[in-house]
Amino acid sequence: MWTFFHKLGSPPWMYRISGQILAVLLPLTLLLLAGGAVWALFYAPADFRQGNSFRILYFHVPAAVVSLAAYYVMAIAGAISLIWRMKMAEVAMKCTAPVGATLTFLGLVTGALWGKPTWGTFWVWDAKLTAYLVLFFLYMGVIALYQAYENKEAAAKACAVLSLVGMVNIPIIYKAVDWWYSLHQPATIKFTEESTMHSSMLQPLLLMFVAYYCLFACALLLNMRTELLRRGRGTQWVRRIVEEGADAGRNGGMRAV
Amino acid sequence: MQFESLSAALNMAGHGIYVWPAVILTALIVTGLLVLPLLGSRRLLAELGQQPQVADPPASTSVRIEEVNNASGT
Amino acid sequence: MPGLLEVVLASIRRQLVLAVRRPSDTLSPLLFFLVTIALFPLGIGPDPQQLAVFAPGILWIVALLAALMAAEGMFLSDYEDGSLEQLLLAPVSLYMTALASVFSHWLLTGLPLTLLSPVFATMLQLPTGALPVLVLSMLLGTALLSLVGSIGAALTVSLRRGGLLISLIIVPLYVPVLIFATAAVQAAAEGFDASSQLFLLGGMLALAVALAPFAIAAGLRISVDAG
Repeated sequence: MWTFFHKLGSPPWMYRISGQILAVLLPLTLLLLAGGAVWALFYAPADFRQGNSFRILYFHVPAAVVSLAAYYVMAIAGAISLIWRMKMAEVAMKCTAPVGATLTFLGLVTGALWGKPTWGTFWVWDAKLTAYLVLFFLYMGVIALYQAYENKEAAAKACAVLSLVGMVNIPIIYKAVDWWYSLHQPATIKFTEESTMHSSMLQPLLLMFVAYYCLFACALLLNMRTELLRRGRGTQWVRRIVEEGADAGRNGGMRAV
Repeated sequence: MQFESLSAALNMAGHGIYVWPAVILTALIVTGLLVLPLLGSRRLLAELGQQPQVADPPASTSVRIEEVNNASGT
Repeated sequence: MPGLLEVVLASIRRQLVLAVRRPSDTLSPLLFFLVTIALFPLGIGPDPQQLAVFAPGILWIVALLAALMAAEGMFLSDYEDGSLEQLLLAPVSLYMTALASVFSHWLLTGLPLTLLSPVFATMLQLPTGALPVLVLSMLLGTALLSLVGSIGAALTVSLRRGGLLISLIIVPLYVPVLIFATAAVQAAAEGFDASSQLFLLGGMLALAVALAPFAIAAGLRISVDAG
């Protein structure tokens, strides 16, 4: 058990094992995304009220949910790095921020694109959209704080603290925004409840959820590998990987991962 | 299959102009999320692979350094 | 060796003395509050009814911005003259000293804002019946703003361009305060009971008092180590 944790903290082991994971996960992710997209776009039935604009849901909802989960991943990694001073957790935290922010951005833009045919306007101060906007700001804060510190060790610690503060606040923000929205109840169309979705609509959505989670894992691992190389420059294991890469290049071999 | 033809699929009963940009944006972001860190790794590895050569500077630069040294010495 | 209470009181007294010697630091958020409040009638028109509708939101948004401005410089002079380092080395729990500095900061910024808010509210035609709720919401809300703002101040004090950054970091965390405080004043202005919103603010304040000093203490440690 403990040796596993020690391995987890070791950059060369992590670099090697993440390469092996990605060799399987990356094709799987692309396959799932492509399959899910085709299913969602061409085979899932149109919603009887929203028509075909409903298909955006398959791209919007998973992005929104995964971006929120990513914030928790970031904050928990930050907590681990603060408590146990584990460098790998620090790397994970730093690399989650841009991935999560990008997915939040995707969720916001697809939400706006969905809003136009549904509400007749690109942006409505709807509870979910507003909460995701705040989430986007939270991510931006963490990224900006990391960039602002010259001393990257301090930057990681500061971001860990900030993301923990954000994690405590997220449920409060969500509840507050939800309550605020119900207070100002505007006359808009309510979306179909997820629970009442027909299984022919639900199945592609579940597939997309899995695909997005895999996408997040892939993007995180890829970012972490780059960060590990950057941090490990000059060390023995990185030099070995550079030499291997050079050999492979000389032999004309393509080594993607 | 929900659509009878390609144009029907593109049009989606008028909603295509919202659905397809969302799909294209998703595709772009997915590509970006996966390709950018890969490119970063590649660039870093290439850069690290060239470092031994950088440690041994080409003749022209060393000459220039000598010239500068001479200029400052006189 | 001085006890915890003495250190806390000494640290509060020190902040207050510093503030008396340099009154402009304390006055500028208040002046900012007044100046910005005066912009709204100029921007949206002097119609009393319209102003009354927007008054709760305006008052709270401006209070939030004033708190943000005040938070920016909170630890700056202590950081620059090295007294922050002394504070970290002191054999007292940093949790308590952080809480003490937030409290003195609130005494100098949040409390004056709270006391003056009825004046500004009257200028914005907020119904008189809503004034007690406004003052109560300010009392609870500005304390929350000070606590949360101090986290941002502690994390950014060693950075040269901390000012812009702190707004980016802190504004999202201010969202629940803004929502509940404005709702309380709005409810009171419309003649409804505002106690549930005030209770929620109080609950959030209790949570922040318990947790924020940890984040502030951690932030100060990081900043001093980085600088």
